[in-house]
Amino acid sequence: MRLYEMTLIAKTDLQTEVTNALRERIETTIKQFDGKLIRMEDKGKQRFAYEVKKLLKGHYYNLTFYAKSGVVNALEQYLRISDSVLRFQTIMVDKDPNLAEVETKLSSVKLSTAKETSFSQPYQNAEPYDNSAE
Amino acid sequence: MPLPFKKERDIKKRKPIFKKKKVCRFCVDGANHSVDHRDFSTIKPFVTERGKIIPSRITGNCAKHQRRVTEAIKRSRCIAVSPFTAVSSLASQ
Repeated sequence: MRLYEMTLIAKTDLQTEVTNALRERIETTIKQFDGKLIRMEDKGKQRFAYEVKKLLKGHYYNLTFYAKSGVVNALEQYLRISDSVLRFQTIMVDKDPNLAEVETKLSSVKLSTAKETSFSQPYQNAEPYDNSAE
Repeated sequence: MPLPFKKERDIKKRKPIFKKKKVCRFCVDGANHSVDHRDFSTIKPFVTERGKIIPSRITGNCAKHQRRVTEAIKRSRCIAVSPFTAVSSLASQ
């Protein structure tokens, strides 16, 4: 079993049915590989840093799931042809996770703000880079 | 008169300026500092206005953490969280 984190960028003008269908499709694919979708965070609409398929905004989702190897290929195969998904990025967080620990840890994290993520905390004392020092 | 070796010439020209040694903020206080490729606010201190990665000799990062920062920046560029160059960036970040 491997633990993955995926970032999905979907179009902003999707209906709830389409979003639910997408989520169900992802869940069934993960289940085929004896896995489980732990959670799908809705980060909301965010502005892009550059144009993506001639669009300026997208709906971001963060997914956390574990499954056997091969799940990523199957998922991406579907996402690539899907019209509603603009971009996706999958990262393997852990090759051999302790599943019980993962489930308890993630179920306890509250997702009230968009800045809270599963494995990192926001940077608090950001110092802006000063060009004049050079 | 033959010129001295480049090293000697440069050493003579450079005056020793006392510079405060920079410390890697992650090594010192790792709990409060982390870089998340999905959150631009965590990446912003390590990127110039044009979107270029700031070298570790300026930020003070150690090699290990500079590699992680670079990896996070490059990942965030792929998912349009941070720009590749400022010319193509449309968000006022």
